[in-house]
Amino acid sequence: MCETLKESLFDARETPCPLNQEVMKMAENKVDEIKLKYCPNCGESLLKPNSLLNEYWISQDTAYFCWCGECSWRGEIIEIIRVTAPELATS
Amino acid sequence: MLSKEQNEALTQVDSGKPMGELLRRYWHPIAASTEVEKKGTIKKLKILGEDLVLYRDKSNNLGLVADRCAHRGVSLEYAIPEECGLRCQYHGWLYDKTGQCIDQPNEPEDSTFKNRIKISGYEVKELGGLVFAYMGPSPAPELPKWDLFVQENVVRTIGYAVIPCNWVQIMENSLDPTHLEWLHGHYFEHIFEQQGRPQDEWPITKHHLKIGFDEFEYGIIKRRVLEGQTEENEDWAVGHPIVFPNYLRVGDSGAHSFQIRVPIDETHTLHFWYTCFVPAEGVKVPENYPITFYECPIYDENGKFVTDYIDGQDMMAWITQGPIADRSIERLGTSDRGIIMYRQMLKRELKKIENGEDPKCTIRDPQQNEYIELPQEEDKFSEGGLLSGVAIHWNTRYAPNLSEIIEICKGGVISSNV
Repeated sequence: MCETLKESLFDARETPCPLNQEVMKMAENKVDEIKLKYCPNCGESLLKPNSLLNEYWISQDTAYFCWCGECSWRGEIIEIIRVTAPELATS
Repeated sequence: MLSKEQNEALTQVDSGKPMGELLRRYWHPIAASTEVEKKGTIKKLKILGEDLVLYRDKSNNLGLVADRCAHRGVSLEYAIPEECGLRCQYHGWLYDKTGQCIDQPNEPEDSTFKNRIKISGYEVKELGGLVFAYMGPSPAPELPKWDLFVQENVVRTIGYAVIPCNWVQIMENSLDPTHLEWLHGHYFEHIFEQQGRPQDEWPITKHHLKIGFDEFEYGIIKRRVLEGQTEENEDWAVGHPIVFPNYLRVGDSGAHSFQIRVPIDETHTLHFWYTCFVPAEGVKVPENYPITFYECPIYDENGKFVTDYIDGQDMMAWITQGPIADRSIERLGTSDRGIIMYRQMLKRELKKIENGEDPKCTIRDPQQNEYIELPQEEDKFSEGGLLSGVAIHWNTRYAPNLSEIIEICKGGVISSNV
């Protein structure tokens, strides 16, 4: 769990104001941390401040938008929960 | 969601910080010309985390230097503007517009001490009723002559507010087209209902079917297809741009405007709403018609956000995210891809300056800079002059001469004396 979230949780428990309760609620829903760490192209850390590793959600999928500050590789990686195939043509 | 470290890298604006260095490569508006019109005026400012004073000396030249005298740290807000520069009120040290000390009246006449004294001094220029500063390395690029700053036969107004939050969350709002149908659509209808005002047909609630973002020479073009529209409509076919790194261009056939976000520091932003009202065909705007400058209120007398105008609604949304939005707990979806694209563009352009290149939107060719036309849909939401038609629901409602402007644009006679 990232430091910010830990701090937010701590604050929320100390002070039960509506804003902090909201932070706690968000934290409870948070079951993961940013799982991706390295550039798939050059292997450099994507967590460095000069890179961008932006987690977002496409329906049920967790997606990672990546831009590597070292090699400038840009792409998206989607965590696979269930492997599906496209519907086969019927004609 | 971003890591705490990446959020910091994105939002810090001080000198030496990555984004602070990127922002210093651009000219930023710091005041309206009317604020420093009179010779001898001094205005204290904070821009990109630096305390500064903007002044007009007795030769009518503008200067922008650090707020503190190098001698004993007195604020130069109370200094004496001279023929050429600013003289400290405490012991008379005189600084030229570069911040170089050129006189120390109580030191020996042959002393070279003053040669070793320099405070920060930055280049300033005026354009379109605004004063711009460049705080980066020399040589400064051209001050971009965006169409709105140099366009003829329009009526200009400049609204401003000091917004207590970081500039990036304000910019991200401009990469988020769908907020329009909610914050300025359904929410506005709710406000109308609460106030007992007729809701009529408020066209901004139209549902977004599709949004798109294309990079172009000067930034990112935002596009949308609304219910009842196709890609043939101007909202998609033309769109309107984010001018990199900190302008939004928005408007319609009746009014074109910039929203300009200048970081004061990490948690405050100087915001300008720069509007050009376009008169009806064949109507001539009176020569030298003044550019009015007005404050756009954030809070009402009870300390609550003023939410019954579009820009007040935006400010409420920006400020309530916190002084610096905590992106380590955000939950972005597919409609937020424009925001991610913008974040990446900031990082990419930062890398360019680290490589010794000019970042996006740096203009060095004077010919290219004669008149830079930006794309913008005129038939907005398929409602024609939608935004100019609701000028009383925009920041422009605080312009002291709004009704006169509307009259001028229709070709009417000026009735008041601004």
